[in-house]
Order: sequence, then C-alpha cells, then structure tokens
Amino acid sequence: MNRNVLIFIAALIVAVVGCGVVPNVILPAVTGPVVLPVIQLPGEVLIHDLFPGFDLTNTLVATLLADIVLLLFGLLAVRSIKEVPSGVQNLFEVIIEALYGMVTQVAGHKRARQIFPWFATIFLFLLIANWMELLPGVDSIGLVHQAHGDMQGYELHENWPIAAIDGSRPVVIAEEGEHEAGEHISRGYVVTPFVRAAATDLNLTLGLAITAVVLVQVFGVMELGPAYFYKFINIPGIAKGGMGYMDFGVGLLEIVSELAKVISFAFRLFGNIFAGQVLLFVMTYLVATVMPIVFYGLELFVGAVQAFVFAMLTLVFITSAMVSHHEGEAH
Amino acid sequence: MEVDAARAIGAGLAMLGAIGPGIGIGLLVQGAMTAIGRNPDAAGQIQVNMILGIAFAEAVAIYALVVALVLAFVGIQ
Repeated sequence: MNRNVLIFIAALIVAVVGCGVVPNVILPAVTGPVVLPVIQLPGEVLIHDLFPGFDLTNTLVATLLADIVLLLFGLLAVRSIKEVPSGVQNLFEVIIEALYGMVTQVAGHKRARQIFPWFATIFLFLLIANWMELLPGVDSIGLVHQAHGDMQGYELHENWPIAAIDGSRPVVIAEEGEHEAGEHISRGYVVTPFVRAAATDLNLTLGLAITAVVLVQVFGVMELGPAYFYKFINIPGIAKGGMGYMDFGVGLLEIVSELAKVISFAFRLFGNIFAGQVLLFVMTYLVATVMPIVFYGLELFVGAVQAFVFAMLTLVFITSAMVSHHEGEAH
Repeated sequence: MEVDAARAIGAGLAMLGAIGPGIGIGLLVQGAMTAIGRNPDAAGQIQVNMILGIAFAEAVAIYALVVALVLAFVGIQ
C-alpha cells in the first residue's frame, strides 16, 4: 500500500518534470527555441540524376537498407542449421512457425506451401521498414539545404536548433541555380535526412500494392487456368441468358474492384505510416521529453499491424482468387 | 495568405470523413468482443477477422487523411 503510493508519486514527479519543466524551461534555455518541424510529402532527393532521369531519394535508401537487413537476418538464420536450434535460428523458427500456422489456417495445407513465401516476405519486409522509422538518427541526421520553391524552412537563429555531429555550427550548402533564377526568395533552411521511413513514400506502397494484386491474378490463373478470367468477362453467364446477363455486368464491376484494391492497399499503408511520422514530429515539437515515448509505443504497434494487414489481405485475396466461382455455386 | 487559410480549413474538413469509419470500427469491435465473450475458444480466429474488417473500414478514413495531408503539406504553385 505504502509502496504503491510512493510509485504513484514518483511517476507523477517524472511526468511533471519530464513533460513540463524540461521541455518548457530547461531545453529553450540550453538549445534555443523548439521549432515546428518542416514536413515534406514526397521523398527528399539525395542525389540528383544518379542515373539519367533517376533521382536517389532517402526513402529509396531506407528501402534498400530494409532489404539488406532482411537478407542478413535470413542468412544468419540459415548459416548453421542445427537439429536443436539456438540463437537467431531459434527466433526465426518461432516467427516462421507462427506465420506458417496463419497461412495454413486461411489457405489450407495444400496451398500454404505455395503462398507462404510471398506472405512472409511482405510481412517481414514491411515490419523492418516500418520499425526503422523509430530508430534515432532516421529522419534527423542529414544535409542542410536552403529551402526552395513554396517550402517554408527553419529560420536561421543565433541558437540554431540544428547542430553538426561534432557540435560545431553547420555550414550551409547554398544550392546552385538559386542565385541565377533570382526570383526564389529563400525563406529558411531545411534538413534533408539521409534515411526516411520507406513507407512514407507513395512510390514504395504503390509498387508493393501493384505487385500484390498482380500476384493475386497470377495465382488465380495458376490454379484455374484461363477459366479464371470468366470472373471478369463472364462468357458462360451470357450463354446461360436471363440472370446470366446480370452476372456479366457484375463481372465487369470486378475489374473496377481489382483496381480499387491497388489504391486501397497503397494508401492504407502510406497514410498510416506517414501520419505516424507526422504524429511523432508534432508530438516531439509540443512536448520534447517523456511524452513522445507513449507515441513511439503506439507507432511500434501501428507499424506491426500495418505490416500484418498488408500481408494478410494479400493472403486472403490470393486464397479467394484460387477458388472457382462455379464450384462455389454448385454447392 | 487566403489560400493557406483555405487549405488549412479544407484539410480540417476533409477529416470529417473519419466519422463514418470511427462508427464502423466501433461496431466491428463491439461485435467481436461479444463473440469472444460467448465463445472464448475462438478468440484467435475472431481477432484475425476483426483486424481485417477494421483494415477495410479504416481504409476510408485513410483516404480522408491522405486528402488532408496533401492539402496541408503539398505546395500548390
């Protein structure tokens, strides 16, 4: 009883000091004013024209990093396979068993072996890519540029909130062409981080969504042959006449629904992760210490759920594409 | 300045689209909780289906969110 009261008082003190005194009194005095974060929707370009017509963005760097991490984990897990697993192999056996159980539950034993690699790859890749956003250094370490176009940058202060790694005052790299154009009035400076969470770029999520939906069609054709396309263009329906014409119309609507799947896949992942990033930025701006921990916990959860939802929906769509429409009617 | 104000208001209004999915997700979880209460053994399967259902309902809210984000953060020349 007495101990519980002490814990409560300690938590209260931590909350008041962490959320009130430190960010509002101590931090402004030491590091200068806390500034509203500059948020950019498209991935920032790190290197212009790496190949002709191809810019290297920081979200692409994050995607490649997630790929490498996933590959390294995979190689570590199978480096020395033992009868009695230990270490990384043990961890991966737990993960793989749980995922495989899920696939069998939805798709059945026969199809699970076929679908499982796609399901597991999408899930693990997205898990790593989403959780990367929570690492310190991601989204904060980068090059400093002059803001251009319509962008509102950070103002240059005496106590600038941006610091070089060795603690010295950063040197600003003025972008070429800024002076030639003349009409661009620079309004401040922005940070271009080296790494930014991969799914905050619509290009990744849209690419993954198209892959997933194409995969659904491929699995459907593999299982049912050309008859799979009767789902869209219902020729047997027309042959039947009567209500069959309506089935034909419904089949045409299926094409639209397939396109809607792409959009819904892409925007669900992008929206969740990008909103999470903005949430973390804004929370850190409002209350710089203690408080963001809560939201980091939330983002840990959201990242895992979104990876799971993306993989699970792919699995469910593939499974339903592999079931023949007419078999279902016969029952 | 007026354009900025209009964009801010528009972004706020776009998020009205979150009302429907909010109600929908509430109903979904209510149904799932009732089901788990009646048959606790099926909790695992109900949870997976609940999360999938939530993902579908949530997609609509995410569309609204994307519209709001684009209004708020994409520069319009």
